[in-house]
Amino acid sequence: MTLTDSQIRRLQIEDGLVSASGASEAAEQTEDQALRVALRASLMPGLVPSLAPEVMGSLGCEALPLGNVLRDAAGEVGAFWPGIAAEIGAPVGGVGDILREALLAAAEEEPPRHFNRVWLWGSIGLAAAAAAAMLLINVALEPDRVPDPIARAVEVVEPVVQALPDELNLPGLTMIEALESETASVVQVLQFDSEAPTIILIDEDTED
Amino acid sequence: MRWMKALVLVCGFGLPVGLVLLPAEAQAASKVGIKVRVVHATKDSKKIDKRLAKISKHLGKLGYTGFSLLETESAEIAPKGKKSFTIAGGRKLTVAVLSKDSKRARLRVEIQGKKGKLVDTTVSIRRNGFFIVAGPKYKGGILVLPISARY
Repeated sequence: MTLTDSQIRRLQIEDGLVSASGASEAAEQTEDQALRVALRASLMPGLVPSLAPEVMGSLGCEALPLGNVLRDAAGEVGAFWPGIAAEIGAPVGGVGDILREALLAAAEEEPPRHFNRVWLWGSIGLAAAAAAAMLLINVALEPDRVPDPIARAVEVVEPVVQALPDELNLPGLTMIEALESETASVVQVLQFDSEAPTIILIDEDTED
Repeated sequence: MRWMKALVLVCGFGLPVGLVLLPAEAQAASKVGIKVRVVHATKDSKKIDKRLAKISKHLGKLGYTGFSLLETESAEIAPKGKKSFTIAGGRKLTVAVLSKDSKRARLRVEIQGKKGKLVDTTVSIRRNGFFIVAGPKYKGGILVLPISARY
């Protein structure tokens, strides 16, 4: 490719060897555009024809997709598995059936090692029921235990002396709701003082 | 995996067993300890059994001077339950715990003699308190029965 004078002059201007003049720039731009068009046309690839039809035509075949041609040439292809199964001694069934039977047999032989949902929820339910029962029992046995922040802060100490009073020390007031006798001649209720026990005195005429 | 098996064993076996046993313990704690002392009171003696020292001042007001402890009967009775004893003189004493709360217990006491019901009473006594049934004749004196309820 040879450069025209204007193109050489433009390169010289870009290199700073020659000063540019405003009158000639318009003409140079037109020439540049023409150069670009020429370069694009010369570098653009031409229309590439499809080779397959030409090749197939030269072979005397129809221009069909290669897969169809191969399939037609090979004919019907049988299943591979029966031959493989016969070689390895496996039953000639579907692979899915064989895998399913093997998995079922394995499941029957060994229980699942994972913690399935039934066990998980069963354990949680039992633990919750036990916690609720323990809470109820604790409340029933110790009704005086009240969750109190002050009570929690106080250190619990074991009692040194038994809190229960000795037997027959404090009789307390007895309320009589009903009193009757079939054989006594006299029945009295005695209360000598507030700290004395209530006495139900029966007077028999004779000893039994 | 072992801890999961242990958890399952605890939840599935240990806790149900505990839940069965704990109510029994709670039931035992809810029983009332009934104790009946059978005291023979006479005017022929001035001896007072030393085991009766705590109540001798009360017994003395009955007009007798000698007191001897013949026997002591005791039983753990749950509410709605009852217990019968045969006391001196062949009488049948029945004590029933009708109910109880944190302060008082309701008891029904019956003494059955050979001729019929000597006494049938229902009382409400203070928790850990006692009362006395006295009067059945026995060997020249009378029987005095302090009855206590502890829980």
